[in-house]
Amino acid sequence: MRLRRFLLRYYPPGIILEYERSSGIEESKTIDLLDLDQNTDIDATVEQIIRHEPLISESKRPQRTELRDKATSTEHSKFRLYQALSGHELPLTNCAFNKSGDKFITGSYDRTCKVWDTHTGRELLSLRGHRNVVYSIAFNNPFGDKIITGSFDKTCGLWNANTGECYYSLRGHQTEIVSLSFNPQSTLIATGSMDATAKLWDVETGSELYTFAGHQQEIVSLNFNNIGDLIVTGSFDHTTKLWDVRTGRDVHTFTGHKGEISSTQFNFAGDLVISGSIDNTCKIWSVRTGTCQKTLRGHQDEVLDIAFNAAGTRIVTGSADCSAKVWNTITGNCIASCYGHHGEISKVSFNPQGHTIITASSDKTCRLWNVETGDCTQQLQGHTDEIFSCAFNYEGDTIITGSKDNTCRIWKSEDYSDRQQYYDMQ
Amino acid sequence: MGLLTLLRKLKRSDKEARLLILGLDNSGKTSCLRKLADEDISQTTPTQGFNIKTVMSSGFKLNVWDIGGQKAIRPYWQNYFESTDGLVYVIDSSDQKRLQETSVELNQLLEEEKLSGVPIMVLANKQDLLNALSAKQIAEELGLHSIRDRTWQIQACSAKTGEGLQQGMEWLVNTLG
Amino acid sequence: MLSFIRNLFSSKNEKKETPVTVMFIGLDNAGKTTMLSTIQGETDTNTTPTIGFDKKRVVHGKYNITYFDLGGSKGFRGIWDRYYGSIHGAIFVVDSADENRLEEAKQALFESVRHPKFTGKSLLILANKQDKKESIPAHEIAQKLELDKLKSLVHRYNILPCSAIQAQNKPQDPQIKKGVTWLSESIDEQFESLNKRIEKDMRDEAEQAKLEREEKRRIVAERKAKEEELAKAEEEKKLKEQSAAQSPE
Repeated sequence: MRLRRFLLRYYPPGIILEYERSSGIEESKTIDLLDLDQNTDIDATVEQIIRHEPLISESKRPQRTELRDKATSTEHSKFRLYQALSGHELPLTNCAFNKSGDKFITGSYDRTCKVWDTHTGRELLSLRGHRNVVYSIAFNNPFGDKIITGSFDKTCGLWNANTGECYYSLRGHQTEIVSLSFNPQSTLIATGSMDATAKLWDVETGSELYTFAGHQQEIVSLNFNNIGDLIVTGSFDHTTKLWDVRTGRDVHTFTGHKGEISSTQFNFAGDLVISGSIDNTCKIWSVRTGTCQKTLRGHQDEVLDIAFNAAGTRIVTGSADCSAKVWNTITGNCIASCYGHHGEISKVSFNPQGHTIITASSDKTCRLWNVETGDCTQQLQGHTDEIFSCAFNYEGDTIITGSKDNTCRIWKSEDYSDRQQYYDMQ
Repeated sequence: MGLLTLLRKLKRSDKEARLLILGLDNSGKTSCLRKLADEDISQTTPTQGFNIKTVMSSGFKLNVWDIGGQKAIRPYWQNYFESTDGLVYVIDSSDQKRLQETSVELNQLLEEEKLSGVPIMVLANKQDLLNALSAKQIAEELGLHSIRDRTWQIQACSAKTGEGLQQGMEWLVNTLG
Repeated sequence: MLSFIRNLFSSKNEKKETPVTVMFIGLDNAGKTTMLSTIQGETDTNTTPTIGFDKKRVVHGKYNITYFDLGGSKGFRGIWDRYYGSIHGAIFVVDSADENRLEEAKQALFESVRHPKFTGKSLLILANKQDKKESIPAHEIAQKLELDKLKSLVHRYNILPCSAIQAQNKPQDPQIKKGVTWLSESIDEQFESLNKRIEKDMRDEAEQAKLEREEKRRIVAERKAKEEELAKAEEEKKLKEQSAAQSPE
């Protein structure tokens, strides 16, 4: 066996080995280091890895240290407004970065999805064709060469991210498409709709493969797990369902919430699912057994968004009670509460490093918070109306916000610089 | 509000009705809506996108979508037609110069397939102004008598004083309920 | 409006029921809207003043009747004549308990029937609100309204006392149905000629409305073009001024 490439994944921490067997066959192997943090004894970890992994030799020690440092850095850098972009004619809906962060996309009520250059702020493409609001959008990360747009016009568009060419218009849903995703392999597209069904489509042919029917009311949230063999859907019918991608069948129905589901997510390892609900709680579910592991109580009002950190060790919940809370995934305890917003928080997420949370609120601002203490480290002000969406790039040094004021803003961290993501070993 | 709220207001429900407020820019759509919700109207600025409010009237829940009326964004009114239960069309009764313009826009709405049969409440707004045309005159100017495919009502009102707005709401609730 | 005309004129033999259009007229508060709801089968006791138009379809025996309900307030009554061309007949509802307004009701009534598009059609008068203590009986209403003068103006007329409001658990006032039956049969007597007349009137009205709409569109488009021209001229002027300012002395 010969090691061909040694790659570091920062968020969550991991090592990816691409090697060649003596037979000539190429394979890859991932070593997750989800528990890597400040206190990890890096040397002990390295010993363990070397012992179990013949491919990695001593010469890789510097990279391993770098990995630890990157994964556990707690610097809370300040962000400043880099650019305010007004290209959309009507309120923005969602926004998302591609993996490398050099581009991002925004959806809008003006029926277009626009592709922007993060560095120059220039509008690269305007994907036109939808006849109603473009609500949900996504890149096929990590590849980033395709974009999907889910619209209130009941169709989903598949586009070339570089030329803007529309490959397909996926038709079949009876009402608005409000959530969608590529599978990790970029071979499938899943769409969730207000018609209470989710559908699976083939990227290559544009044909519909499965309809996941079973929910009694609108589906508002949809995610693939990391492997891409399961999909989770959150619905207004108070339940969250797990579906098998290969067979189209309903694997589990997570029941227990007493109100509409607002948001769902898999953790990185894929063994847990979290669901936020307007019943003021967030629940943690076991993918294997289909049962509720923990109910996170504490919010005084609807939980509107939830997120895992990259490693899956922490959960953040954003609520209509104007606060966000951070929870320990294993114990279910609330570690920190973030108070300060004057309006409901509709979007929450961790930065990739996991030490900061961003919240988007109807009070027209975004705030950044320290995960461990709940202290507000910064307020991003400037939008003149509600902020509907926000996102960190993979590096964690750039933030984009999409607002009802028809603009999106790029915010950059003060120590923004070009960083090399992978160490290549030839 | 958040995106989730927008989705919730898209839901089709028997206990709720979806109202669209349309009309030229400066006709007073947002002011009428705010006044109905008992809010201060002095700070109203041109709506760049939309405003959504839920108004309760006689136990009936009305999800009201107030859509910006500037010329550039009028083509997007179609975004909101689906599942509309009632249409409120607001007119600046004192702006005689733009009567033809608003009449043309209204006629276009009446021809929209997605709005076929939807009841219309025409609000002859700004009655507090001296040169405001009466509801009867507005009805004449707009040719409302040629609307035969749906029920309609014209209500003289003033978002400034609040006069006429409640009656308008009552009619809507009666008609939709 | 044209499809409406088409639906109205399928001959008697084609469809199961005969389509007929009847309009409610009468002063505000006479009870027109309530009457229509009763005819439909479920009395609405919570009506709001109509300042507009509503239409409802009710099958009555072999007739499929489309009712137009219009507001009757003084400022709004003027709109009634816009509809006369489309109707086979009308129902005039009068508040029998409101003696003070009978003179006003009489004026409104005769104004309607004298209109060329109404004259010669059939009219049913419903002396409503007979449930009230102070209501005047139908024959007295007939006198006060001078209904005998209608003879030369309408094909047929009739007056019936009734109450649109049903007491709890009581069935609908049979006078109402009786009245509608009478009206339908009157209309039937001149059905073919009525249809011809209505067809012509409605076609003319549709043409007129279309012309008016197109005229409005033209005016608005012209104005828009003028505005764009002006804006363009402004732009060019500005550019000229800018380049003049930049050119060397």
